[in-house]
Amino acid sequence: MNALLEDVAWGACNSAYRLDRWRLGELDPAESAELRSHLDGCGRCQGALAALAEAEAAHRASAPPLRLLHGAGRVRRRTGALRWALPGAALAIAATVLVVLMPQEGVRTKGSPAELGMYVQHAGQVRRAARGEVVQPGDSLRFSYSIPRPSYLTVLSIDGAGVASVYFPEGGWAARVDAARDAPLPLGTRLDGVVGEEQVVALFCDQAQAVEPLRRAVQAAAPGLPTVPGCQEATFRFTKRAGP
Amino acid sequence: MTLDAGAVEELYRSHGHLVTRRARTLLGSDEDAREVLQDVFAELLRVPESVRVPGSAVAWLYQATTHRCLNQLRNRRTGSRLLDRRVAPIQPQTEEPRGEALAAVRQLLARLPGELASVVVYRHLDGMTQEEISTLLGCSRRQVGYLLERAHASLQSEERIA
Repeated sequence: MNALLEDVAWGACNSAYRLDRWRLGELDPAESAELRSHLDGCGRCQGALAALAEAEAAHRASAPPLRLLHGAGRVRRRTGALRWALPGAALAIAATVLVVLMPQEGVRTKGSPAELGMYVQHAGQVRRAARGEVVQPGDSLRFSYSIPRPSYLTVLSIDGAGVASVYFPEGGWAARVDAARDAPLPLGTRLDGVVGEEQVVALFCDQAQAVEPLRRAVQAAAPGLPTVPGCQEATFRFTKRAGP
Repeated sequence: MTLDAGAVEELYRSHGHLVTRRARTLLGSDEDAREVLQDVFAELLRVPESVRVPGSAVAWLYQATTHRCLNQLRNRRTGSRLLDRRVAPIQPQTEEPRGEALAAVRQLLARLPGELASVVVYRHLDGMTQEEISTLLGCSRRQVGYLLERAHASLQSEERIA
């Protein structure tokens, strides 16, 4: 077997599939009795079963309602490989505007190891954003993040008027992300022409957080940064100015 | 098996966890797993006749989840090409022992044809026997064995290239 597959292989005698079917009452009585008998004497299968139960508990604690049944509209489908999305008013395209990315690649605050990175796509080429870099209208941005431990991530944008809008995630709760180094967010954005100062704030929180209170906190603290207990932040500051 | 909206919602409550768990493992992202969860049950609501294994919701959910997750892995791969290679792939430095290996396996799965990637997932990540896989897919054990051999050969080839 491939060595990588050995590292990720299911570790119990009975498959996850069989254990799921048993837990959900799909095995016939004979199969069920056989499995129960095995479980009594098998630590590996008991451990696997406990892991399934733990995953179920985690799911039940955080699963949203089924959207189609609760009037939230059509289920969003990802048809594109990379979503260079348009997150709204803060980032609308204007052909006569240049955007200057001012500071600061991977700014860290409070001595935290959380970092934001930014990549710019222009004329089919991708480069990492650097201080003072000029970006053309219509260019696309994508952010990446680094965090040494699993966290709940929210990324917001604050425009020149001090209005905060949510860039990531699309749902109402901060998205759990694994520990990662320079991991791209699953969506990008196309730069707009709103003139003025703008900054992007990433909040890495120890626990799941509702996004809207975070947005309000970020907006209230602008142009500074909010102090959110249990969260670390990283920012990018932009200065946007109209070009020729 | 025919399901009305109430039955789908009940199934969502009782079985949704296995979709979330497997999608989380296959995609490495809670956000993406939640999206797969919604998509899988939305399809069940739209096309209830698509349930192919009478009496086994678990079987249908395994297949639907696997299919969507593998599609998404392939989409990510395409997307990473668009973004050049300067954005490093997600590299979870997770405390979970399998995290790093899982990230590498996801990249390999994205390169395999769908039917081969599926049997790899069922056999190795879910620990299913060839008999279980053959029942799930509605094919012979011999066919499952053949698919696994091809998948392993492809993976070895991919690893050599990498």
